[in-house]
Amino acid sequence: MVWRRRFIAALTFLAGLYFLLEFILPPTVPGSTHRGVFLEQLPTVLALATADGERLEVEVGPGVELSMMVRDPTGKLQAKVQRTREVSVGETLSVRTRTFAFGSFRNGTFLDDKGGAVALRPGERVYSDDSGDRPADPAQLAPGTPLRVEARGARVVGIRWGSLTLLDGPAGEARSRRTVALAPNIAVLREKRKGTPDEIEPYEARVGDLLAVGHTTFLRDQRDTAAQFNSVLGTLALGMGLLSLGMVNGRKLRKRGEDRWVAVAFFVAVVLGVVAGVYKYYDPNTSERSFSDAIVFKLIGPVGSTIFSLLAFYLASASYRAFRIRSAEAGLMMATALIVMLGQTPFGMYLTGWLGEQLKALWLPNIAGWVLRVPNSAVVRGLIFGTMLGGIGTALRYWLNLEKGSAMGGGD
Amino acid sequence: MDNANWQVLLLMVVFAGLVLWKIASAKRGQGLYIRPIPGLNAIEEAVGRSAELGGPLLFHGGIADFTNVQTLAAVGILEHICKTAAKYGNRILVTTAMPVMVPIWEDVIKASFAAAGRPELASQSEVRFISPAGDLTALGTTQVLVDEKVSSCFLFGAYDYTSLLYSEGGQIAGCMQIAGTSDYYQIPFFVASCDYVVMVEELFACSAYLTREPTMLGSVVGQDYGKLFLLLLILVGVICATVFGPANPLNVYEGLLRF
Amino acid sequence: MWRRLAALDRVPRQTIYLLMFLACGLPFFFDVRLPLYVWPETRAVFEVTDSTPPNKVVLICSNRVQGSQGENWPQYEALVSHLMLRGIKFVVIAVDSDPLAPQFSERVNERQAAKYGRKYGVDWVNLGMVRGAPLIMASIGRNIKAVFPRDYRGYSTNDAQKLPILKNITGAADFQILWAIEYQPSLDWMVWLDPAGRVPVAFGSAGIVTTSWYPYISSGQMKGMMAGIRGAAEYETLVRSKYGRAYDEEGLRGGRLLVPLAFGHLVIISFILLGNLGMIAKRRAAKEGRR
Repeated sequence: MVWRRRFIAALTFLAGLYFLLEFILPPTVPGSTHRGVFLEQLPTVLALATADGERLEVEVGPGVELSMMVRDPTGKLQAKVQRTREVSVGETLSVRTRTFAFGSFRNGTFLDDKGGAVALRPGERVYSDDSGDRPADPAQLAPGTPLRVEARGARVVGIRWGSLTLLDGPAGEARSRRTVALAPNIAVLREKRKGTPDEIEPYEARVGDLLAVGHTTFLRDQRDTAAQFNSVLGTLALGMGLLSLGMVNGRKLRKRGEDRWVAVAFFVAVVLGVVAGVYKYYDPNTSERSFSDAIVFKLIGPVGSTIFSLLAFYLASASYRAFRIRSAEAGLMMATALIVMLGQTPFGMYLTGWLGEQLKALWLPNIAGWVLRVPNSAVVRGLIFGTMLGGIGTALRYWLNLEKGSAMGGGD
Repeated sequence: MDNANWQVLLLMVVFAGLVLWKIASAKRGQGLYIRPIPGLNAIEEAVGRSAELGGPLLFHGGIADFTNVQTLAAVGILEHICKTAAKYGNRILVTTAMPVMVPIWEDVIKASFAAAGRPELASQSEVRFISPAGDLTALGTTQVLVDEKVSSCFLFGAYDYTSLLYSEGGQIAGCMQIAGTSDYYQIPFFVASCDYVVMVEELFACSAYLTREPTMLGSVVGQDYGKLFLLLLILVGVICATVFGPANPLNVYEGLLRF
Repeated sequence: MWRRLAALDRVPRQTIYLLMFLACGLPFFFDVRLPLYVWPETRAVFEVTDSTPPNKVVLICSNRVQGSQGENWPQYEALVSHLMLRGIKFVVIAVDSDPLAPQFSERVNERQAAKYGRKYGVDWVNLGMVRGAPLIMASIGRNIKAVFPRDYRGYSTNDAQKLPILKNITGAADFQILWAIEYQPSLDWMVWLDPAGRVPVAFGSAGIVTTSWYPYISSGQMKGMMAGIRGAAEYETLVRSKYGRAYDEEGLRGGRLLVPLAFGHLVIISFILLGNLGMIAKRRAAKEGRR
């Protein structure tokens, strides 16, 4: 069990370390980061060998989108957009060079909605949202349809990295111009008045923007991956639940005890649930959809509401039993509770509404509001401090493997 | 989440530093005091009562999984309950709405009973996953209370509206109940229907209080120092704002809130 | 007399249950409407939602399922009916909820859409459920289409023909307000969705949980909230008072459910008072007995 404990401890520590570093380290390597006001730039140019064997040079600027094509589980091609700094020589990309709205098609040439001809360079084709893997068919396009000029399956054969010119130093003093060369993994961040700077593509910089240019620490790039990992783990838990329930009920069936009918009911319910789950995507007027709706809204819904409504009964009897004025504090508490309860219901207005606008402050809803906004807030803040600090303490113990207990892999 | 600014970094260092400092000093053998928590002292009474009546104990570890710190605190409490139960020879039933928690609760029971020298009690104990729906689990649990003639019931962890379904169900079944949660708006419900309630941050002090482990004690005392620090911060802030108005020279606090 | 009153100290549970049942059940048979005082927390969120510009959407995280629908259904319905009436575009998601949540949302969306003639994909979209809070909230704030490659009906979120609503929507900057409707919405929304704090956050939560949101409202981290059924009824009132006849209130629950709620409160309050009266009477009776 020792190896298991160590493994869990190490994994916990590493995962925690990633989040800690991601949180406290800036997105670019400190020290080698240049900051300054943006003046001008030299764009990055990609040299591509297209799928048709043509050579194409693309200047990375507005409208250009570089994406890796990946097949999703259903087999459809999905574009995964890449930043310019992530591109390297030898990769195969789908490069969108520009977009336009369809106007007409004459003599083999696309015209945009303003009548201008869209000249295609060798290796470029026109695609629409519906056309999928094949170029758009002009005969089927309606005017105004958004179209993209793309070079698909193009291999990057060379990159001529551009540069940014920044005005260095604090305002008001002698400033120097500095040209920062772009390179792979050099990130450009635009500083905001508030909060952490956003990463932008170099061509998105506007004159006057305060930029920070430096080598990325890679930590930020993995944020979405970490989030997806977390999401996948969470979703797996759902499957585990079904598996665990299935095993428990399977055992019941095998034992042939009195409760085997419960197990049978369980399996029938699972089948019904799965069917209802699949049918929920059907159109509202189909019988499949009505079946799904019936299961969810005529069975599960009412059952859930019924259980929730039990609370009203439980609450009434519990508060009747427990809420006795045995001390002065309890009396104060009772008075407050009555004010807040009545203030939240329409009776509050019935009881005090006649006081009129001038004595508005004495309306029960306003007194209840004051109780909630002032004394209640103070109490809740105190509790939040306690809870959050308790959370920090517990988290630290688990992260640094200081917790002595069975939860971290069996035995002391 | 964005990157930390210096104010957040400062707070992080202060809070974590205080906790780690106190853990270190506790490890060096400095005695640390935690005030008695009545709810936890009552655990022995509840287990003993259950042993007299001959029924099993029921533990419910809240509605959350182990990503919630309250559940982690509940794990420590279940360990203690198991160790106490080993003394009296009770078996333990655990119900849960969280499938991922099933193996964890099983592990805790197995390890704690083994550590207390009564491994046979672990095989008599049971972890029941009732339903992924919290409300159905609550109703199922109250049914377990009746069916199994449970006489003591422990509810520790994170709770939502189902808190009252559990505790009032136990009240109707005549169980002695000890509950603990740091979801403060559920505490009124527990107070109304349980014998003892462990409130808010007391829950995080539980495992320290029960095990008297120096690292745990240290972290709890460190948290309290953190709270003291926050109180000082508030006090200074209030005084500055009162004396100098909102644009006071010491208005670093504004920055603290803006992250 | 004290001895007789002392019986109030131990009213059988069943009697309380019965009276509660009558108090909550009977109002459904009569069309009673009660006057309403609109709290500032509800007004604040109504105004932000109402002033959504056409280039922004309202993001709704509805984790409402069968359990808490007593309170969350009216809230969600009040919000959606307002958005549909005004033609404000909205995106519905569910985070870490019961897998049924998107279906529960869609039920209300479709009904309200039929009333006002709104179209799926144009006026609203339901992106289904995702797990992994709080990290995934940050991802949603950065790029919602990357988190949800497909919507609830299986269309690609990049498909501008089927889902034109999402065409110019990427992340936090395009959201007018985030509504989290659930029994107890996660506080993580305030920190993670948009760390720069551009997106106002509003919660629609159960009445009991609302007490914990007030500190966040006073600090400005949260814009406001709908507090339980009362909040839903107030929201409906606000929409009605601004748009009058155009607002089709047929089938809306907020105002209707407020009545049983109020009478239920009344039963609880009277039993607390009666219980205390019983306790005092019992003490007096004991004293008299000793004499």
